[in-house]
Amino acid sequence: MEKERFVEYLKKFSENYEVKERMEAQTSGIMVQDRQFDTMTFFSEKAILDNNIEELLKQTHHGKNVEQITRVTGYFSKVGSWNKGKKAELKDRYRSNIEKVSVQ
Amino acid sequence: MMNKNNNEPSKTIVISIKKRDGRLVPFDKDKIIEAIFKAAKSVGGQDRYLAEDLAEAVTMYLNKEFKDRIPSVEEIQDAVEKVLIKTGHAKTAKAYILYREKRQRIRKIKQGIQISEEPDTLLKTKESTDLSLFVRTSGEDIITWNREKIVSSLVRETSLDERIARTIAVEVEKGIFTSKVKFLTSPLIREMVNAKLIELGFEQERKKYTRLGLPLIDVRNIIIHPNKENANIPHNPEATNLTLAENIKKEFALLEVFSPEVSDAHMRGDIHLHDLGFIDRPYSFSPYETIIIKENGFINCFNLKQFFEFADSDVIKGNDFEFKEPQDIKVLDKGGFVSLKRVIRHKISEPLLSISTKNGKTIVVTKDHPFIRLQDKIKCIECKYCGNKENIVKDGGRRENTRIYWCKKCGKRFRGNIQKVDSLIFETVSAEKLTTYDFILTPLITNVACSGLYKDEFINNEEKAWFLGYFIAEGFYGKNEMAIRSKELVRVKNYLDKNNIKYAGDEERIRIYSKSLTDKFQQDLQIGIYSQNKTLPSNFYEMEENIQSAIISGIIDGDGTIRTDNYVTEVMIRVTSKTLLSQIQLWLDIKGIRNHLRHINSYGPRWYRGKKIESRLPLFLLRIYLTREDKKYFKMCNKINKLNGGFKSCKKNISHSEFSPVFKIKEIKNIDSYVYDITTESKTFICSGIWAHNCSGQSLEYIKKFGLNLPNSLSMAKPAKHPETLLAHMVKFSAALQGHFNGAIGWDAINVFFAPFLTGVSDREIKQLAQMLIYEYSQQAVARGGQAIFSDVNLYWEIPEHFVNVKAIGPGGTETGKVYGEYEKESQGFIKALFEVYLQGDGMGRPFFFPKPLLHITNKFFQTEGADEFLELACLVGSEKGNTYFVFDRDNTAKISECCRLQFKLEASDLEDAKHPWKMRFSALQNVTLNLPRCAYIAEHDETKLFETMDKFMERVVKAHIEKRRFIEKILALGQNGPLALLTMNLDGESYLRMHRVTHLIGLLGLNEMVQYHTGLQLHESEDAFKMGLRIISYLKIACEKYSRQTGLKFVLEQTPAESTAYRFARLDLGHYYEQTKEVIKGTLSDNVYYTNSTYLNISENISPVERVRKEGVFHPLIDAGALTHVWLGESNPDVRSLSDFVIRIFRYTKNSQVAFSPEFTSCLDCGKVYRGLHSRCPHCSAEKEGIKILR
Repeated sequence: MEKERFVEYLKKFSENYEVKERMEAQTSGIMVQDRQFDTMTFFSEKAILDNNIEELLKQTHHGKNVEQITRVTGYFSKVGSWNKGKKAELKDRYRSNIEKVSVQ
Repeated sequence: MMNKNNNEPSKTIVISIKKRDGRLVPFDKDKIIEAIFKAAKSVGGQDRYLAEDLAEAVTMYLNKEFKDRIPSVEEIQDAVEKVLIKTGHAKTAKAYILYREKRQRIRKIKQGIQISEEPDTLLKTKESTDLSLFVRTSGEDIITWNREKIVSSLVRETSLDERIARTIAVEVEKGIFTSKVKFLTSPLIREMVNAKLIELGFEQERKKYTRLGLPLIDVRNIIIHPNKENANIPHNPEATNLTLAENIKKEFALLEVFSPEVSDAHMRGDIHLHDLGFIDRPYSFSPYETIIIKENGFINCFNLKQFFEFADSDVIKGNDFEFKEPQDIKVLDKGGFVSLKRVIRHKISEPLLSISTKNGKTIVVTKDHPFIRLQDKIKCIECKYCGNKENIVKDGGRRENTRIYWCKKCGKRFRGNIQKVDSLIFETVSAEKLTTYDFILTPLITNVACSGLYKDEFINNEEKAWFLGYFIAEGFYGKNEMAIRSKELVRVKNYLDKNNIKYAGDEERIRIYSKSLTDKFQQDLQIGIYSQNKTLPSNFYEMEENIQSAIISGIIDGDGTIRTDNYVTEVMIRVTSKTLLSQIQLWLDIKGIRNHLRHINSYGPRWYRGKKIESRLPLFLLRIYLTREDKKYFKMCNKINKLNGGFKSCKKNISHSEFSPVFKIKEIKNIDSYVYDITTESKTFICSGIWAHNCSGQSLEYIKKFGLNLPNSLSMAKPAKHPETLLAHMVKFSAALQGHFNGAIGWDAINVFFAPFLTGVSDREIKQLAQMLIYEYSQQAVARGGQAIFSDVNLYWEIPEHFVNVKAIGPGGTETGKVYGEYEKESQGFIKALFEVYLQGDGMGRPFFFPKPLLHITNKFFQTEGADEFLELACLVGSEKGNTYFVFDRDNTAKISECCRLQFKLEASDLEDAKHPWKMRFSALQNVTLNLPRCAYIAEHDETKLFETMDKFMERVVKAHIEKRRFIEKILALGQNGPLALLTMNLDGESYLRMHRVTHLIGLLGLNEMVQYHTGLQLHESEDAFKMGLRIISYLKIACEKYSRQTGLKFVLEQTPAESTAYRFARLDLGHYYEQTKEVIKGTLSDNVYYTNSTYLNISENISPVERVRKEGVFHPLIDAGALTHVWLGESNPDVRSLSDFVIRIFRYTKNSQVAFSPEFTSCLDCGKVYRGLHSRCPHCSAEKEGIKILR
């Protein structure tokens, strides 16, 4: 998409994004700070032209837009919604593999 | 003045003091020291030695002043003040003086003495400056300040004495006026009253007056931030509703369901009461409301109180309610007589509401009693006066094409064109929300005819009947006689003379001495005579018509007054007995005589024969309007006969509409301490002429069908015709059940029970059915607080032994002629299809959260063909998606599993039920968890103390269970009228929730840390530590058995899932037992802490899965309600063959009852890919694209 429209869009959602002009490795473009994912991304002008808005916005996530899922006590749920104690326990869990062992 | 170095106490001359009540007690210097020290502390002092010195000075002073007399308490306190001031301790002196004053005031209040004139003069000043204070009430209303509201609410809610309540109100008012606040809210006033109650020492009352709720900041946080306590709750308005409501219910439970001892134990963290709260108030009727009963073909009209007392069955008592279940009684409902199931009463102390309709029906009910109201929405009518278009109601006066309308807004009536009603709106509202001109239903009394077949031997002529009626109106019973008090006794005397009945008396009063007559009246005819208990004789409705008429005539001659004006003659009967009037009204309705019954001013005085009478009881008025033809009924009535010329006949203009607008609603005192309710098979009945219902349902569906039952979705006795329908029923029923239970809903052997529906169904269709089932459950994120339906399905490869010879039920709810053992192929086809769907995962390839599939491994499993292959499929699902739970049923123990690990071991009696599989319904009533590590902290390595502490905790746990059970029983007793109606539905001879089979769970948490603190080593670190753990659990199991025997209830141990409890206990223990807890607690201080759950080994230890399963399994046989071992797989993806070998070995060589393999997933919301393991970034999306650079 066009650079101006992209910048306009970002400015509309200023509580999430901050935009600045920038030069990076002799290429001109803009720097976008994504507050939700706490990232800073540089977009060259060419990159903006080559991609549509969904793509561009996704790039500001740096792949952090993930959900982690595993068993909390007996059922599966998203780790993001666990309480602190359960999250601490998750860190400590010893994970094992089942190896083929001869039948006793 | 004082010699600080003088350590010798002065010789005490003062030996005794005189208390306020006059008693002499020994003089105790220590008390003075205490008093001074306390006062000093309150202003920042800390020196106790100084207090002692000062007390010494006081003693010296006293010795001087009271050489020859005994000082009183007041004089001693004066002395203390003096000394303090003189020695320069002004601040302390002030504190002491203030405290004295406060104590004095409290004393005076407790004696009921008005404190001072102050408040009133203050009020007068305010009044003169025209100060008006506004209060924002919790009823969303703004009213002016009224001190009396505090008084009445205090008396009503806490039973405080009225004088004391008034004094408190005055104090609060003083505080408000001095603060000059202009705008108040009632919550604020309530808090100020609570503060006063505490100050004055009324702790019990304060507890009853307290307001439940949350601070503003908490509500804000709940709405904005997601709930972390339960990982299953999404973040949406339903969910926040749930959280907010649960908070209040929790408070309620801790205040009212459980005793202070149990609540305190919970708050401290000794035990944890799971899932606090479930509550709703029962609605009810005043005792004097009437119902029409048919028993053995005989019709009678009783009030609810009489009916309760006469009902022939045992009384079953609950906490503060009682009920009876008489047999073979029918009660009149809208469409005819329906059977009456139960009559119940409970105590209540609030005022009731009396509701009167325009067509003359009046009923007295509790404020929350539901009414169905009909509102006409008439559009296109505009008020001629104010232009308002809303709230216009029809008001009769039809003439050609016009009718009269009444504008509720401006109150004026006008004539307008007749409009078609746009829509009828039925809604259920509580009594206190009814407004005048709402229409409610007053059915025409059909189906009731007086047979005239009952011939009472005594009342065999009209004269006697008249006398009876007169006596009902004017008579009363003395000690051994009957008496009549009236000014018109001529006719009575004639009657008595004619029948040779002895009497004595004068112009105004007669005493009748005839035991046979007294007995006859009181016992046979059951005429209660005491003001509000006046009634017609029993079997009145079956008597001959002329007898009935004569009785009524007698009543009119006694209590009635006749009034004639230009239009009509009215016969009025005004009494305190609503029952009597209702009964007469019934007769009049049957005969088609116009009448009108309403409640009139209850507290005002009235004039009777020149005397002013203050009526303390509510009064009711029955007006009777007669036509000339109607007069024939009242030949025996003097008063009516006297009217010959002046009689104005009424126009026979009885409206045929059954709906009548409410025209008066008034608060009314309940003169009895009970309110009553009955349960009928139709859930509705006619009460005092008004159609009443007791269902708490509020759906439009219910109302449209006028009383039909809740959607009778799935009952195992009547399944659907097609498997898809059966499935839909099952899902909907799960959702309904979910609203009534905490935890999960588990279904047993569903692949077996679906099988008869699957004969001849293609594989593709079976696969579709499996998909439907799993997707339906997974996506229903709207039930109960916006959660997915928490559900489990128990599955078997083989046909379980106990179902093999059971007759199979198929489409339409009929037996197919085969037994379940013959449906193995279909059953296996379905379970395979289910697992294939699980294997695929959802649209993004993620595992399905619900329903959880529990595969039962039994001996028979291995003997069934195809087991090996199927086990591999199940293991593949477990490894790829982690769904599969393996449940091990060894040695022919059958289990139904649900809720992660909860099991119900089926006993012999349960297996008998297997012949009627629909009876196999089990539930746990409550879980209370023990804080095991805390027991170790309290015991401090002393073994005897350890077991003693466990005993103490157990006692509280058992107490909590008993309290909860009582509470639930109370609500269940309301049957189909109560909030747990679904659970009481009875389609197979037992209510859905079988209380005699429920289990009471005792949860375990933190055994590892308990043992670690007590012995120094964790369960896995030494044989001794492990053995200690076993000893402890065995001890608890034996305790469970002991309590089960003692109480007759089923107590069993459970491994609490403890999602939030492990965290809660950990933090509470850090707070109360910091030194000990920090030695054993897991996680990182101070916030990210937890205890090892239940009887698990330390989850972070490098223990091989085999070892862990085996070792943890040793505990499982002790834990009857179910135990589980987790094998955390993380990223690893074990080979299927290894996994199934592992499962087989667990079954054969360990005692472990359930195992779950848990992989971990990361799912990217941007690109949709799913990876194994927990990653903070998606590998695909974090790769840089051309021209785009990650700076940070």
